[in-house]
Amino acid sequence: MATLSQAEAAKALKALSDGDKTALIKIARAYAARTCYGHEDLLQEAICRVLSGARAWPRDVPALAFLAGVMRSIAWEWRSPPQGEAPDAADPRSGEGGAIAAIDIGKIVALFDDDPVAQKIVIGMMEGARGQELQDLCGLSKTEYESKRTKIRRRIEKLSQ
Amino acid sequence: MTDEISQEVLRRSEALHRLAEALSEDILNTPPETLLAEVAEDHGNRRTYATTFNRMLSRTLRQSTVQDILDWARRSGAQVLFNASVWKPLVASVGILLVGVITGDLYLRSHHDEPLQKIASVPVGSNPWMEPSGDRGRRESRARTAEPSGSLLSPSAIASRPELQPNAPDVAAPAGAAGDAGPKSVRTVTVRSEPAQRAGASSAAAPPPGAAAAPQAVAAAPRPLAEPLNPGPAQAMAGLAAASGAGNASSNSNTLSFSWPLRGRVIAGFGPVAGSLRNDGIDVAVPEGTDIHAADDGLVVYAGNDVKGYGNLLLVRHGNGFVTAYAHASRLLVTQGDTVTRGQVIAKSGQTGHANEPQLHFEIRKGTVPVDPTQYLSPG
Repeated sequence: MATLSQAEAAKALKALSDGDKTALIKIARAYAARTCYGHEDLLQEAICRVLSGARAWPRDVPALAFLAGVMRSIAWEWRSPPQGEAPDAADPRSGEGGAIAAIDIGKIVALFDDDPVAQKIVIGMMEGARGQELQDLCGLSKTEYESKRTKIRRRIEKLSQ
Repeated sequence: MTDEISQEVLRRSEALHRLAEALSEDILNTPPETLLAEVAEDHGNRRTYATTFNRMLSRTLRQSTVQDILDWARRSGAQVLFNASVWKPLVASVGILLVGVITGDLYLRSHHDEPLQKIASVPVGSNPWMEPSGDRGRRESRARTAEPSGSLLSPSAIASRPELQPNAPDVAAPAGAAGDAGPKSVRTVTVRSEPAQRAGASSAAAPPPGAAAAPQAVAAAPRPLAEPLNPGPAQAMAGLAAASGAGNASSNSNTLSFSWPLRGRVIAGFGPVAGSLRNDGIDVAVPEGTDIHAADDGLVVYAGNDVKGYGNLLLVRHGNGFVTAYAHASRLLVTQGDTVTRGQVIAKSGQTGHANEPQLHFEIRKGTVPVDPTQYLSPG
């Protein structure tokens, strides 16, 4: 499998568009909310692993998708216990990320008490359902589903801000 | 109960992670312009996240570069240490070897010169002369040590000594003997402890020209040598005793006088010569085959040509600790152990060894100290 060299990876990162950079920050925020770390820590760790060669970057994988996958992997390593399992105060990781991690599943679900469909979709997402499956589950068209999904993302983003 | 809580925690953690994955997918599927608009809506500047990303990327790249440098330095350092671990023992071994060689050489040199100080107590050696005449470098080195026989005179000092002047008269005028050329050979004479047995003709008594001129009385009881000079010590001692007893005609410590071994032109006087060398005797130019006479009664303690540069060499031990040397001879007419009488023909002059012309190199030593032969040679 052909992979980018470290120099090529650095060059590719520098060449990202503002939209790609914005997307990466947003993805980092989404994953970091589940960890004890901030979104910049998560994104920086992902880039470090790429530049150091710890994570090989296949040439045929777009930068956005690749970096999102790296951050997902790291976030899983860094996952913090949800609320009720308070992080150790002595843990240096406790801090900004700790507050973010305090977001509880219940709180997220409660965000959509005013929109039972969106709430249903959120619960389905937590269960691992995706795309067409959720669309079918809620009886939505593709456009309606995408609209609900964006609504959900925006509310959660604002919650973690 | 604890297990139930753990399972619940894990389940909820996984649920949050799956939710983040779903949000991430949504972000990836959202057009960039929409995302930028959302940022503008939230923060008032659509490039806020891009700026944050740029700042973070720059920081990360710097750290990565620094880390690369540190890694390179670490690897280089490890390589250097590895190389040092390989080469250090080798270099240390070579160094120790060199130090050993140098130390050993200095030790041998210091112990090599030591016997020169004690002509009568030379340990058994292989060379009748401690310092071969051909070894100029060693001679120079020895001269620089300022040992009694090693002091040097400048050419001007030579000029101040009449007996060393190039145009000095023949040996018949001992104090003024000189040649028309500069020093041709420089020697240091030391009797070895084990002279080689050399075949040679027996002595033939024929008084030298100057021998009959001033025969001197020998002390009634010549001082015996403190130690045997040569290997064959018993024989040498016996011979020396005989020589001392029989050769009591010439000298005591106060009136000691040697006769000139031959008549000729002195081409090199005693003492320092140019080039930081010194001549421990005198060189007398004579035709090849000229008779060489014993300077005084004595015992032949060495007859041979084992010393490089001296050619055929005779060493004769006399009373009162004197030794005379006769070098560059073409033939030796006596052998080790022979007793000789003053004026006896003991050799024929020649050009053996390091000699540029037929000549006799003649030395007189008092103990270990070479003395100026012209001061001990009887006039006439």
